[in-house]
Amino acid sequence: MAILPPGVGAEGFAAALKEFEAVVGKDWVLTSDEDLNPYRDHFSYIKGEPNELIPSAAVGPSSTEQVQGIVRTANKYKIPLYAISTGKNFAYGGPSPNVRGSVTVDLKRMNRVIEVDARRHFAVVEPGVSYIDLYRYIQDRNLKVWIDTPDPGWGSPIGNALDHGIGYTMGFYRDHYGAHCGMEVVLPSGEVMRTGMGALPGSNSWHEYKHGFGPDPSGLFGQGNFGIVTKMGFRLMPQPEHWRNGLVTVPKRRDLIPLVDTVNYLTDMSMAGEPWYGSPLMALARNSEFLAAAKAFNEEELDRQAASANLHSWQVELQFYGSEKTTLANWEYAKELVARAVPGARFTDGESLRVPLTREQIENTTGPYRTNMRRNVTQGVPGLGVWYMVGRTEQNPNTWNETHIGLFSLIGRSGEAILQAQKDFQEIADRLQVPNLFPNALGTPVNWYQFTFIMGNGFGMGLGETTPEGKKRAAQRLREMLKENAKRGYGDYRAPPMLQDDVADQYSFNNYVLRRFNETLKDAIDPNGILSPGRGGIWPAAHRSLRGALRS
Amino acid sequence: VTSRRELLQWAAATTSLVGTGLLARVSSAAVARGHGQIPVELLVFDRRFPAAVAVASHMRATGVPAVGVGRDLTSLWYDSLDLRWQRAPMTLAGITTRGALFVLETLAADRGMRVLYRGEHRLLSDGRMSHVLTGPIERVAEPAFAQVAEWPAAVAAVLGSCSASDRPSACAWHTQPMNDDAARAEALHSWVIAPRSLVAAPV
Repeated sequence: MAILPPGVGAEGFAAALKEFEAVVGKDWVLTSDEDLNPYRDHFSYIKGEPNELIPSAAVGPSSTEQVQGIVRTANKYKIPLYAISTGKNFAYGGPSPNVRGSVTVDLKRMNRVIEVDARRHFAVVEPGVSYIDLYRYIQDRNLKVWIDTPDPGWGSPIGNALDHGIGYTMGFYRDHYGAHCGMEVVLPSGEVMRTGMGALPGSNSWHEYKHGFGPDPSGLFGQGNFGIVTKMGFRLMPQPEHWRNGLVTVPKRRDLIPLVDTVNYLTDMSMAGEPWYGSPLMALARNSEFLAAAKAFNEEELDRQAASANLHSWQVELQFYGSEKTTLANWEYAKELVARAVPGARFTDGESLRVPLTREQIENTTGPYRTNMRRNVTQGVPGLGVWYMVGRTEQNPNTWNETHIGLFSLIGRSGEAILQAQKDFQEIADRLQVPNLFPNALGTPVNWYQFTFIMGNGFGMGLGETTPEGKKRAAQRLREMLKENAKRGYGDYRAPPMLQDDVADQYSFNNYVLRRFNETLKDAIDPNGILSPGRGGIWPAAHRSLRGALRS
Repeated sequence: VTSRRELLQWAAATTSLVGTGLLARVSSAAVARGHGQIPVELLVFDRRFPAAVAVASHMRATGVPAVGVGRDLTSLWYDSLDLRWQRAPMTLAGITTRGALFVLETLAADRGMRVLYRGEHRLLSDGRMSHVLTGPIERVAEPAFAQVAEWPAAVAAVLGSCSASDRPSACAWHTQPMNDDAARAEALHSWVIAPRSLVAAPV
């Protein structure tokens, strides 16, 4: 590919590569096409295009000291760096940088599990440790703690948390960034900083009190570009003795409102883990009469058809962690609360299993009712199975999804907000002529983050577009969708580099003061603009002219 | 899901070789002889598709251990490949969906391996099977597809005959479908992943 970092000549780049080699060793500075191929986003809408976001080189440090050396060299030559932990963030850009020609700092060689404390319930890891690695470490030592894994689990806790990734167990742990407990960061100057109690030499509570004293800047490193995190602590859930699940269904469309209120109460009281919402009416999704009612959001008619088919309108799968007795008590209490709030609600006991589940129990997909849960992640067991989704599925009629992008909008955590978002998203889809795979009127959110709902809207399947021109059209549609979302108050929580400027544009309150604040900090902390310029929509002065460049 | 019995059998076989340091010598010796043929140490096949099972059968007949997978590679990775690749890279062949190949080649790249050969086997709208192959297979692909009656046998021959001394080339063949080809909605992909040192030019 032989591309250069922006603003850097061939001579300067060659000199910088020599210095990188002196820092990490010749074997760990990669420049050939074949060696850089793994640093591409293979699902990119602009793969193979002249503006594809590919690096000019990759360097692989094995220690914090080497990261410091790389940062100092980058400052000297004003070379933009882009740090990745394991680079598995597919659907959100994978390992590709925001700026073509950046040097990728691949932290996979920093792969030590530094500590797992099964009594105080935390782990400390380096960026190259994957969820699978951490799980194996815990299993090998028979430690009684759980990780909370995303799906798939081949990425790293640090990388996932820094991109505000999520999991599937109890609320506190599902917010991976929120569940972090202290970090070590190489700043753009090359200095090493520790946050929270890590700033106090000799403290033995670094991973227990993450706030320290005074302002806590750790938020700057999530979806940001203010430093390279080289070490991070995470709270771990104590291994429960028992797990139980159960299904709740409610008959009418408007019953969603008291159902959500009740589940919110249960989860916020830490009585239940992640709830999985859905609609039994999906069974009617191919019925033209039903589809007409759904398209028109004709609630009376939808309720009539549901009753006629002896189906309920909404369902939620609940899961409980604890002892056999406490999980049963919580399930019984959940049933009592829902029954009080929703006349006609039905309840189906799920399974009641001693933890840890056996492999066979985890892989079992049968049960008292048809479940949507991927059981491995409810048990903190990382897997790779979810990758089937980018192959040919009922949801994805293409044989292979060339344009795999996740876009999820934040909506309020109430039944009213869901019902409104369904209408809004259908209106947007209609306006942009985006076909829906399912009726919007049956769309339900995910509760990955305990205190908010996220709804898939514009999930970038590319809609069958596989040609370069088609991909451009699809990308343009996604950008239009993001704008339309913002007009209605919906922001997205995560995006690939290609769309980060577009998502950042959604957050425009008071003439983009949040972005201006971040960029003021960026220019002060990183005057040469070397660390991940453009990440999170934050552009340093040196590269600010690149904002929005990918839109053309 | 890969059966644990299959995995354990394969793990036992490879562990004994690795444990004595024989595996590296076997590989090196094989590369050195003939046209630098790279011996396949394990075949991964998608057990859901009869054509893939047929490839596995042909490979097994030549002494290559084969492990069946479904749509989930977790067990293959967690129980076997992760542990094996922590010790040393290896040559792995496959006949799977594209998704499985993507997962394995991504994981392999992290452990110093590259894709040496790729083939796509797709049913065309005219009822024929299309086979598009890329890799160091020039000397073997033509005789394989010209001489065998069923395409899985030809693919098995190609998988077992990649050469470290050949540059990659591309070729395409059409054959009659067989087994479940007409019923299978998804293309199958054959592939060889090998240690970077053996891959002159990844494909």
